[in-house]
Amino acid sequence: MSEFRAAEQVRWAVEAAGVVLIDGATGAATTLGYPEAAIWDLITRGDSRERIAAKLCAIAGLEPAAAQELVLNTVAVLREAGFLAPRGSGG
Amino acid sequence: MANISLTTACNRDCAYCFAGPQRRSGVSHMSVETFEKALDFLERSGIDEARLLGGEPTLHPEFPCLAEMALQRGLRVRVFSNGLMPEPALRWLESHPPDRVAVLINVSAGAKGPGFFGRLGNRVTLGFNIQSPAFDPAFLLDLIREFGLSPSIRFGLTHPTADGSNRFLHPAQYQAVGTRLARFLEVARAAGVEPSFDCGFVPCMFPPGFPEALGPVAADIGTRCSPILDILPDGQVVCCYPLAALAREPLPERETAAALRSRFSERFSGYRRLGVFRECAACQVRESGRCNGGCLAASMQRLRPAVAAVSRVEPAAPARGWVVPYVDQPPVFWERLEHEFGRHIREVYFPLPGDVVGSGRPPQPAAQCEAFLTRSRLPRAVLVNPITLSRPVAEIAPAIIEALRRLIGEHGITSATVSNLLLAARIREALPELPLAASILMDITLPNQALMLKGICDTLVPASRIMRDLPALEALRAAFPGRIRLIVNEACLPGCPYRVQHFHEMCAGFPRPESLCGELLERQPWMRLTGAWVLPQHLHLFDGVADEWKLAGRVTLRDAPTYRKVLGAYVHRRPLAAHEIGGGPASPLKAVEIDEEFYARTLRCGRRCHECNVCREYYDETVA
Repeated sequence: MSEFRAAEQVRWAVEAAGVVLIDGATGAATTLGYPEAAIWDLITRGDSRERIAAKLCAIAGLEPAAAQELVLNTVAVLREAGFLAPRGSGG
Repeated sequence: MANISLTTACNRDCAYCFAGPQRRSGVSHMSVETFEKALDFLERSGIDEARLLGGEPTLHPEFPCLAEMALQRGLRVRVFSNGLMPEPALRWLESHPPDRVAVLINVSAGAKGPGFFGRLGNRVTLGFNIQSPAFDPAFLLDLIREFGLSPSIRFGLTHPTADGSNRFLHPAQYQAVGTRLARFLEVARAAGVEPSFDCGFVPCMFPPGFPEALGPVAADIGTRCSPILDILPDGQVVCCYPLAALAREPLPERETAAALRSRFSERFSGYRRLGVFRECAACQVRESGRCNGGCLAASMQRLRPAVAAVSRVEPAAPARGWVVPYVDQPPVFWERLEHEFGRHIREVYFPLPGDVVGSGRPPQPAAQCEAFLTRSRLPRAVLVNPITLSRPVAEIAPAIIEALRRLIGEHGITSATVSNLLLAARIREALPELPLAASILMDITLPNQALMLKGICDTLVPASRIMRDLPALEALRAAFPGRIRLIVNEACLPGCPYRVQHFHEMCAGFPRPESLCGELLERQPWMRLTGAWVLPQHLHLFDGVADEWKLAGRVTLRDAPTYRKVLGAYVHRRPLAAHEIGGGPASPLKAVEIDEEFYARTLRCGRRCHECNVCREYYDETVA
């Protein structure tokens, strides 16, 4: 699976219990609770999936396998919704 | 409702105006054809009132004719004016009965009743836009009484444009505004004056139970943020002025306002998840539908771009980029300062009053401070920055927090600068909405120190040792996600070995603490060229590492003309000599010409003065 980064048109804000992501181009929005919100935060910092999973073990107290699965699932959902773009792409 | 903006022309220049982007693009008047289309649109939409705004709508050359056209169609006319109306417009307004023609006049604090108030009488409703928590609308009651105006006041909050380029009331100040407004409204209602509320007010800004006690007039609080529809002079329609840059459509030929509103609502529906506070997401009042989270444009200011942390802070806009000192000058000085530099001033800082913590400096005159706090509309910030605290943090923090809470409530303090990180953490915990700046006295020079501020400080003032060290500033910029504030006229030598003792003497109340570096600088006067100062003409060399600038000078800029001259030079980047900037021992005290090439060279030199003669030779050449 290739690496992803936050899509350029996305704007986001920290909320009381998570983050809200908004696609500035379409207006589509989604809310992420924790620990998915932490995954988003780490993606915007440019961390790789492996690093995110490793940090998630510490942040959320997950086993490595569970952390990796959570990262994969979250990335898939965000990619499907257009909030992530392949690293190296223009948009 | 829908508003028709007749013109971008305006004879005022209010820093908070959310029509600024349209006004800056040049004067444009609505054509008669477009106005007729706008009236068709209102009629088709079942709207019975033509709300005419601008700019200043009465400056449209055909204003009386256009307003008459609206009346002829059976519409009522409501004019939103700044009060500076030309005589033909005034004559037209006074010639029609109040039930057909109404005028809402936005007035500012201290406004005197112009003569036409008497001519227009109860056609006039006063409007008051709140820019800071330090507002005092008591004068409105006098105007209503004196001129027989409509016994109502429409309150508005100043909202940001999408790019945040105007001055607006930050939601962190809402509670202070609500508290003060609640106090005033009790007095107003006792005098028979009823309030109405423009968009963006939220229930939680008022004391508990207050909106309910207001009754029906409070019905709009919390729920009023929806596409009002502003029809611009060129015939384009926007959701509302603050969101004008994000979406617009041509005035439809057949559709109604409802259809257009529906499209705008859909366009912004995703953003509706936001509220002005992060707590809105979990708020029960919002969940119940009694509040929609406040102004959408204000909520959108919370959004971050989806890029790495390094780039999260937008480059500083020239507007609101200056943090300037309180000096003990009368209100007229501050009024003039606001008039001349208001849009550039981010905040005016002053030491925490009283003896809770000390000011970090020998006592300065403060006879005018109360008047400044009460009357000035400039944003203000408080310093809590002695070099050391006189008692353990756990002991002294509650009193400091209480003093800050009082200042926020009474005077709408917008931020605090703190020199002790432990104290800052306590303040952050108790007053989470109060933005905090890490003082220069925290001595932050390294990226790992910037991380220590995470979650506590929103702004960082780096240590004077690196204030003129671009590589070090760039490293901090990358490590710290908040704003970087640089001081242009820092008084001390970077890394001065006498600094701590000097600050201790200043704090300890010695009557005339001397600069302890005097002898050193007498022996090596060229060292003044290494001071942490930036001349106005060299500010551009710091583009990219500075988000905002601080002009120090509570002592050195006490003289009003000097203050204005120095601030004006910095704001407009007009050249000054190093001895003119209100610095201290660390800036040249003689007229030395500072060549840009020389200065730029010192920004990346690593301060290896022991093996470098550049500053020494430059000093010898220019002074000796």
